[in-house]
Amino acid sequence: MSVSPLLAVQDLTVSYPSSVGHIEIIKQLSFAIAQGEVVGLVGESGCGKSTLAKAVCHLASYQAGSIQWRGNDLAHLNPQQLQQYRQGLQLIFQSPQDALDPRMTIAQSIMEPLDYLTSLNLKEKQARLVAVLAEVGLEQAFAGRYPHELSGGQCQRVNIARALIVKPQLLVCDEAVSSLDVSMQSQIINLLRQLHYQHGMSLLYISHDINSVRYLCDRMMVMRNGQIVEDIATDRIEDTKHLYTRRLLSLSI
Amino acid sequence: MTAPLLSIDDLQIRYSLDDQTIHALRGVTLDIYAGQSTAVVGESGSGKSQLFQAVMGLLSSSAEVSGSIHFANQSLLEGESPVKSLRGKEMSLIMQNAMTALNPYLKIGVQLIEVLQYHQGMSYQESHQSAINMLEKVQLKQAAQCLQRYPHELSGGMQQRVLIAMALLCHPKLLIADEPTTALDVSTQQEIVNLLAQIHQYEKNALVFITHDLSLVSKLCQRIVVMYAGRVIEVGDVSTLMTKAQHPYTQALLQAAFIQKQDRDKPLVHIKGVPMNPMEEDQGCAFAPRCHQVMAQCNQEIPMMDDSGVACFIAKGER
Repeated sequence: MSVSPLLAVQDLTVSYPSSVGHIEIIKQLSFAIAQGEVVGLVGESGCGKSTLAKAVCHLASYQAGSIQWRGNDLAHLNPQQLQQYRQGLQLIFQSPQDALDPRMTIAQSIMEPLDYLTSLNLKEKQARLVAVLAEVGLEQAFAGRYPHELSGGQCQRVNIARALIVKPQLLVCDEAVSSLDVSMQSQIINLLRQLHYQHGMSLLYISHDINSVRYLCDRMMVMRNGQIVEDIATDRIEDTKHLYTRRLLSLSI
Repeated sequence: MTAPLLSIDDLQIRYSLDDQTIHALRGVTLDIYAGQSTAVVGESGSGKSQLFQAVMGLLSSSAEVSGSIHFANQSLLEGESPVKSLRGKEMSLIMQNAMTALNPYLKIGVQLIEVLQYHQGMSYQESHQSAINMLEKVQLKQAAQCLQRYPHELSGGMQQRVLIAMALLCHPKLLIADEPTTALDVSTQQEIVNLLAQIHQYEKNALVFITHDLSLVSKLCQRIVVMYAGRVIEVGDVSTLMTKAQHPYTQALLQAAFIQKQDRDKPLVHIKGVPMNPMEEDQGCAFAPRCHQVMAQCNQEIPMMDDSGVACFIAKGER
């Protein structure tokens, strides 16, 4: 029996309406992510990386193709399966501060997904909060604070904690470190790596920085004009024959 | 030796908040010479933007400023400050976030022409032509059409080029670029850095490039100024500093900036701990709690910058 991958995208097409007709952002794109795999997705601004992330997270509608979660098509999930999918796949957004509600405390933000995706009681929720804060390296005292009292790096840790609290199998990180300082970027990348090792969690790590992708990921997909132009193991990246990947490599030094 | 174009002496900036004081700058002394390109690097909150907002006279009115800033021998902080007539003409600033720095309600042309009419008293015809010429200089395609566009019709890279053109309209002697590439992707980043390098060559102005990314600096700048917690902690020319950084903070920053050289089996190098709280009074070296070579002296005295170009007891002890 063959095991179906965690996430399988087949011939996906996403387009947005505009004044000059529909613009195709994602064009017949296919890829799969297996359980425990760390996959990088690189490409320039405007190539469709974030649209792809939104589509696999069920936040953007798509015109053709299919997205399968553990072998089930997203378009035909029953409410229970949809709940399992929402719990299994979590997203970390680009700008850490904007992704948190400024009127909610850190504890409220982190615990909110539990209300929708689990049926834990308050005591169990609080136990999870304590565990998850420790895991992302935030002191328990942060629980009562508001986002504006935190630095960008700390906010990103909160975002990661909010995703982790429902114990996902796949974490989609859309430019999760781009807006942070270099040293803070390293800290967050280390944290993601550690989470992968400890929980066998899969990552889809979207970035325009090829260096961090090479460091963190086993496999790298290069995206251009809505298509994946190359899918290559990161340790073989230097052997790429693809001109566009070469160009990205030469820019990254 | 010629006098510096910009001379900053013991500049301190404080903000009062309820009963606490926020120390944004804790005493910065820095000279910038005409024609020189300088990178100012440091983490978020190290005071690098505050420093040059003070130079441009853009600080909030609640800021308490002491020390002195001289631009071409004119004092910018004492008495009737000439900063209003200098700003945009003799010195200009390229802002960090191009999207929010442009007025969304005005066409690009109106925003560029306004600068020339105000500072140079040009007619509409003259300024229109100058604006087109400048957009061509920053390598924007279809410069004439671009004047008729609104900011949202341009990509991030194009908006950044418009801002660079705007800053250059009056050929300022001092051009300050505050993280001009942070919001852009890698290939656009390189294009903007290359463009700034070209402009610096033919305008021969003094260029200040503020960034937290040391990997961008070597192409563009001759000198690096490293800031930490509101102080300058190391100064040196690019080649020396990149290879023989003396301050432990600069060394760590360099390691963090060059990910591609790191072993995949080991965690990435980062600087442990958090930067100093700007509300704290400093008694010793601000970096001491995060420094892995810390000595007893570091917690008792504040290391001062001298001719050696570094403010660190450890670096001085080793020499």
